[in-house]
Amino acid sequence: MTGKIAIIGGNNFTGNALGKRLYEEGYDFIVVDIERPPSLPKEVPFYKVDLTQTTADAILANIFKTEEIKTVIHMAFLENPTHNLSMQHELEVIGTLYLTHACAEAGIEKIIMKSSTMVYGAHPDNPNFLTEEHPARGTPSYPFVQDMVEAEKIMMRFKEKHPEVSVTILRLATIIGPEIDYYITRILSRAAVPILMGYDPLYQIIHEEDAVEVFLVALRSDKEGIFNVAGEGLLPVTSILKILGRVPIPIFHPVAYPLVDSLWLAGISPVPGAHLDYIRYLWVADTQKIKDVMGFWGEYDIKSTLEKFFAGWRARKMGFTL
Amino acid sequence: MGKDKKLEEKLEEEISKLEQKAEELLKNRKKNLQLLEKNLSELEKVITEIKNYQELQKEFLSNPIYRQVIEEIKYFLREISPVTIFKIMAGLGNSGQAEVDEFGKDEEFVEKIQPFIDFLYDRYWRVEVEGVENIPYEGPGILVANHAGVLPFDSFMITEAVKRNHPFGRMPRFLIEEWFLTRPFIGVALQRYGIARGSQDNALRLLKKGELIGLFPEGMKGIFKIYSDRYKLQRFGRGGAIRVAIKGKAPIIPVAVVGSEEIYPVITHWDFVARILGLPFFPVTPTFPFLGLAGLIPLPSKWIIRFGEPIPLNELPPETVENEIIINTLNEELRSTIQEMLLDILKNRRTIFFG
Repeated sequence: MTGKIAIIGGNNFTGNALGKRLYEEGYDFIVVDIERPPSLPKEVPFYKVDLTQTTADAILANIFKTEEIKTVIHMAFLENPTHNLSMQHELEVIGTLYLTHACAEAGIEKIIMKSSTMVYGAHPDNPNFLTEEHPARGTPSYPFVQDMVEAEKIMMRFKEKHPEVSVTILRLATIIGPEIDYYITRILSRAAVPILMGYDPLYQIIHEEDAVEVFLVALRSDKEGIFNVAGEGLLPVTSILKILGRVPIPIFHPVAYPLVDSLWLAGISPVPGAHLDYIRYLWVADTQKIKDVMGFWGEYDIKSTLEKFFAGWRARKMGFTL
Repeated sequence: MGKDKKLEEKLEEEISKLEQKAEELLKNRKKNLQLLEKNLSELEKVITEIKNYQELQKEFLSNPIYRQVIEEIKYFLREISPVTIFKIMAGLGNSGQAEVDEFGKDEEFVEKIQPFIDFLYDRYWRVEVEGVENIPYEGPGILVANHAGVLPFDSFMITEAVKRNHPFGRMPRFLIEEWFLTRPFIGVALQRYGIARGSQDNALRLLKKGELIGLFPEGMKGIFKIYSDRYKLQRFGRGGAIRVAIKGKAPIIPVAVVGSEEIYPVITHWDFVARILGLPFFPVTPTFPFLGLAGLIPLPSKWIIRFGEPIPLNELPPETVENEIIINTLNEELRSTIQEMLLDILKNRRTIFFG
């Protein structure tokens, strides 16, 4: 039904986990990245392609044609904010552009793209529940989000030009779980976490297993479109920290932005100051659409996700490897 | 002959010029007169404002109310520690197992600030309630009330009035201006108390769950009201309350609140200060900003909250939403209903501070 699948950018947490799941389920697929994912079974073909290369489109089209790929899962996005903004732009925006060119050339039938609910941006005038119809405003001063918004726009322009191709964009909430290791889980692993004084917005997360499972659901489904994906339940930021036993350090917001910005430049903070908007204002996505259209209900709600994350963190701290 | 013609033409030109000048002068005079009239009317407004305010002042000073205010503040400081209030506001007071609903309401927090609400309800404003039987026992419902008093104290008092007097102790959830909800500290506190942003989506979502919601269709215009405009209902938005009632299939219960419009007698607005501070408006009362933060202490007026008979808008067919004329007519009717209720209560009220 789905034909042969290609995972673009398979060497990150979601790519790795999705590769494992696809192998378990017996799908026929290949992986494209700059490095072979360590956990990838030997039978699965791997192609080394650098999306920032100017000839990436032709190379990809060639691979798609020879492997007779019908479905593309696009998750070649950086997991963490980076200082190398030009590389990020080349990879995420231009890389997506090259990929769409290759898809058009090779006659791909279905594209599933990974995105984030961060594309809505954290704004004071956000509605309580952001539906898929709400414009993806992003955060203009935060390239990590803006490049994702740009990439989505390129994908939607491709869909306009090629309406026969099924395009699904999955906007995932903040991924948390026992195994995933990126800037959010690293921040949450610290004993003390800075928050903004007087602000305590509701936060939404998704368990890492659900974040992978939704790609399988989207693969099997014949529906397409943009979907918000998040676990059930909302908690204020301070409650999340309390459940994890972290000490919140309230910082007065006019001070916090320049402070975090300078720590970011010094390489101490994992995020720039613009990220503070995301613990200041509400950016909760409405997940009704994916429930109604694809029938996807996550297995974990917010509390069980946090429990799993905490258990994993404690086990790692005690020296176990999961 | 030629000379005469030329002379005549010249004369005519001169005459027309003079006529034009005369017209301009007349116009200018009219303009000046209009300006004078405007200035006079504005002066009159200010004078009536001062007169109005003098009445309030007389009443405030004739009885030992200022002493009572001091007593109440002493009581407040003795019974409810400002530190707890700050902790609650800062969001540092939640126990960690906080169960919040999808709009951020925290039942524990509601209990925690109960002493503060009780103080305002019982001692400070001595709220009197009429017509609670008009609130539905269960199922969705919309309370529509007049809005005043700079800070959204009225939403807290109406909520408490329903909670105490309703046979099932329903707690209505007010939807207010999003500006308050995005401020630090106060925004968090309002959300934990169950107050949400005023939007049609939120209202419909809450009604769908069978909740009782509260709306202030006057919005910011209500809060803006200066003292001499008290109890004069402003335009009711663009009929959002009516639309919500029809779409959400909920009856509207008109609510008149008397007393809330006197807690901060706003004399004027300082727009230039508002612009500098980035506020939507900057009210000036006899005490604020002249007495600093102490000027923010509201006056202890006597409050009367009356719930009117439900308006069964839930029985209208949903297509009515499309008809703007009907919506606007219903909106105006609702406004006049609440206005009449207000005037009725005011007729029987003798003093501001003792009802």
